Amino acid sequence: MNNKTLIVMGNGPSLGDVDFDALRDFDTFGLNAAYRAYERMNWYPTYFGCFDYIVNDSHKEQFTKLIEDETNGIKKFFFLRQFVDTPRQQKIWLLPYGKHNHLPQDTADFYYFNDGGSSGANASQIGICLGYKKIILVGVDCNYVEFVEGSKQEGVKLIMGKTPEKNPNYWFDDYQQEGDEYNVPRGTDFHAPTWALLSKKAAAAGIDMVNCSTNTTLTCFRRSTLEKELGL
Amino acid sequence: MIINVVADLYSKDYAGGAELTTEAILERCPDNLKIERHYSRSLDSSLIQSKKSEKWIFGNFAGIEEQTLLEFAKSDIDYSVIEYDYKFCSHRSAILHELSSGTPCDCESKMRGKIVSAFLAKSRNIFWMSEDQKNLYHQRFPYLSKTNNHVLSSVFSDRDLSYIRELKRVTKEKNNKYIILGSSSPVKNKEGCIEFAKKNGLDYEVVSGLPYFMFLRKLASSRGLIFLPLSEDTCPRLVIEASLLGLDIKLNNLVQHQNEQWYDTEDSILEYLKSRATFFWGKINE
Repeated sequence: MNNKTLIVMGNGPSLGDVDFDALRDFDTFGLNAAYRAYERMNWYPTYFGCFDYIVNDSHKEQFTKLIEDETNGIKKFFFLRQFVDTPRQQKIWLLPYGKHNHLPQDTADFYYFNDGGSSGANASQIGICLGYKKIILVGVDCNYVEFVEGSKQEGVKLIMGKTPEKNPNYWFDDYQQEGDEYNVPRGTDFHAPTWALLSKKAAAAGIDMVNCSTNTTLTCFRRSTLEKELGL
Repeated sequence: MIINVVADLYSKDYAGGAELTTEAILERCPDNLKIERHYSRSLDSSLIQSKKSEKWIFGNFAGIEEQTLLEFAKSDIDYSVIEYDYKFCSHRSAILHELSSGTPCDCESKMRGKIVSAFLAKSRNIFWMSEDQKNLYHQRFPYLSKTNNHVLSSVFSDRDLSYIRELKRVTKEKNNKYIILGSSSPVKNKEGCIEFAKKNGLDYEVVSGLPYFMFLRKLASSRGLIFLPLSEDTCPRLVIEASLLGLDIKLNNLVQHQNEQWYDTEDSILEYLKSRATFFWGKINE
């Protein structure tokens, strides 16, 4: 196992191109509602997390079950709420977005964590805190349809009115299901700039970040393939 | 049950020691209680009367008019007070009073002192920051010993205690510097601390303007702390944080919690601090 490399798995459609079985010997970080696919695939990442308050609250029962299921092999969970009082879960305390600009550097920063602005960016920062020197991004397409068919806006959040038959934003169609609550993705005006900022901070800290997503709008990272980077 | 909390400021306004302790206490409020926050400057008789059957907790109350303090003292309202400094004194410190005016503090015989002591005496609980602070009050106002007195000490949130412990764990290398607080407040005695460092040949760094979490990281990577306040500091968080981070600490005798039993080892400090919020709410619920 290469313990210096972490594969951060965004949930964009291109993650569907990844051979999950080939990743079993590598450290991986899964996010948000991807657990719905893990159950069907009987495949689980090394780490799992969610860094969006609305999604934390919307999925709290499922996240709690995931933590309590000690057979799934996930080593550590990272959430914004303390769902279960166990060393298997680390609560992350986010600083207000945009107020600070430092790159989290170690596990103490979990208690005053600079919000990277997106789930993938925060998972990457967690990886850096855990000591990973190389971060491989997959499924980080950053190419969202902002309002998926079936969703409706309520205040600042979106609610999925019915499970969509086709979801252009994610790697499996029922990633979002009826009743799920989430934020408007804001891929172009929010996610892309936050990734660009992280790429600069990571490079300055000597962290090698490489985007192996097969289809992505991001241009701020070195591009490559999983096969090449992992020697598959 | 509703608990009305009154303070001059809250931590979102100013992250001082009193405000952080108040916040850490409120974070641990039992589920059966509902907190309603009020600013001391906005307290008036109509608000008090509309909530006279509810419980009240006072943090720093310097902004409350004397008439309002008397209204509480004369009432049957169930209220408790966390006294962070010496509000009977017009300078909130007898030493500072003498330093500023050139005459010893005699505020216990002045109207302000009498009203504050009456307000404290009629409270259901007085929570002090240290034994020394409590004793100094009791020397001036012996009848306060008949009230329910509790030494609470500074209270830390679970988050900050965890952060400090983790900082200690992950900090592998320390530099040779002693941290001096670069506060503009004369009572923090920045110049005196610098003089002490020079006289004793200690490498030092004056630190100011950092966010709390960055200041703690700076502290964690340093050899020591020099803190020599010019007036009584009842239970300074900075000193406790430095102790938990394993620093060599240079203090004078105005740091009032330093001889208490709990302030002995990192383990005893941690164990004690973890208990304080629960202790507080236990007394409020009695």
